[in-house]
Amino acid sequence: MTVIQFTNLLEAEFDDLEPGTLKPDTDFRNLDEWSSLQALIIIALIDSEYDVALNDEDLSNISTIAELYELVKSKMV
Amino acid sequence: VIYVNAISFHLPQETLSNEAIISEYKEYGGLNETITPSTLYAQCGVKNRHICSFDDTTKDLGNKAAEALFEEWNIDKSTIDYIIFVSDALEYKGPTTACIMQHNLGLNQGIGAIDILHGCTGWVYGLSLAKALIVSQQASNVLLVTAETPTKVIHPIDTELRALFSDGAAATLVSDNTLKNGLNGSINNFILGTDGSGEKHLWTERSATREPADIEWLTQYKDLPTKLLWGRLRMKSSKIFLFALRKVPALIQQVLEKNDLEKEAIDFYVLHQANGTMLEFLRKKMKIPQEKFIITIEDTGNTVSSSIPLAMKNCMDRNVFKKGNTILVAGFGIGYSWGGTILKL
Repeated sequence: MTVIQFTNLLEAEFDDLEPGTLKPDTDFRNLDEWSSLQALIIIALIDSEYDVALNDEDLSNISTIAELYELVKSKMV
Repeated sequence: VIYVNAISFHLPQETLSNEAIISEYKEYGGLNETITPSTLYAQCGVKNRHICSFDDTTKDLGNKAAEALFEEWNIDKSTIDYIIFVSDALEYKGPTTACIMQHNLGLNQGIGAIDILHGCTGWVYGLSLAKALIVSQQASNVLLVTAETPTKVIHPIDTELRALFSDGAAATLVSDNTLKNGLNGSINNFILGTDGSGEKHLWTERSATREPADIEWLTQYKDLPTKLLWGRLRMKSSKIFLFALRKVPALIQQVLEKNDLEKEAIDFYVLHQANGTMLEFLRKKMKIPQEKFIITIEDTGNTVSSSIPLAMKNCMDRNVFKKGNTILVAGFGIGYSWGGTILKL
């Protein structure tokens, strides 16, 4: 998995995002489409694809997609 | 016109609270102290489930639901000319469970009897087949029985599954005539869908011909209340959550299109009562008003194929539905499988 693949995977789970909007340095917290529901979807996606279980707290400590990518990678076995 | 005339149900008497789930979890080796009754409730919106006794099977629950249907709606059972039994837990590899039910229920011998092995989409499949049988003039009064005993295949340590699933059965009469004082919802067009790549995301391992349970496998569970004699339910919940999130909104859209309806034309959405928290999530995502979206899972849990008829009956008993209402029903889950249709009262 590369950071680009990871970003594209996440982008596909946002309903109303123009393709290409999400980039590794995007602060996902500042997106209009970001919400507590969207956070749940992303947590489920990461668990489902990478077998990494994150919680709300993990997400609240980071802000960019690249940071999320690093966090997931560090937790992968 | 083909109608859903009437629905009745049977739930086993024994119930299981969130507190009891946790005490059994600890009794059988669970060590996670962060699991509490309120975290279980927050996960799925269920407070109580019904537990089938060790000796009863889905057929026993199904028979009771069918008897309740005849009694409650004053249905002459000699008019039944086809029985469909829907379950993931059949009596035998043979004979067909529906055949045995013909005898148990004292139905006529001149009837068709068939099992459908399906879970969460099972009631929708039953309606779809019943309608097809009646339209093709092979039957007029179809008895559709759904029954499931998921608690028999759940390990006490799997609190997520225990919190969710519940045993129960429902009986539905589908016919080409209206029934006096019946629900009489006409069955419209169906959408069905399948994605077998979900096989191992929700399944009962060691339950049948593929890798049957052997002595070694069974021995490890011999001290459990159910001994897991019928296999062990496994679920990857994040996969199921994403599956539902991707498929259900599309399914509902397709059902609307197939029936030439706008979203606003739907008075009530009665979906498979998979998980209360997830249903609420889906409702918000689809922007459906709360009063139109039926969630009745709190005291009955997820009864798999019986969850839609149970939710329907719950609404019928509370006089929620009115003549002229348009109801969208949809099932989704194990398979993966999904399907839905429109009932017009």
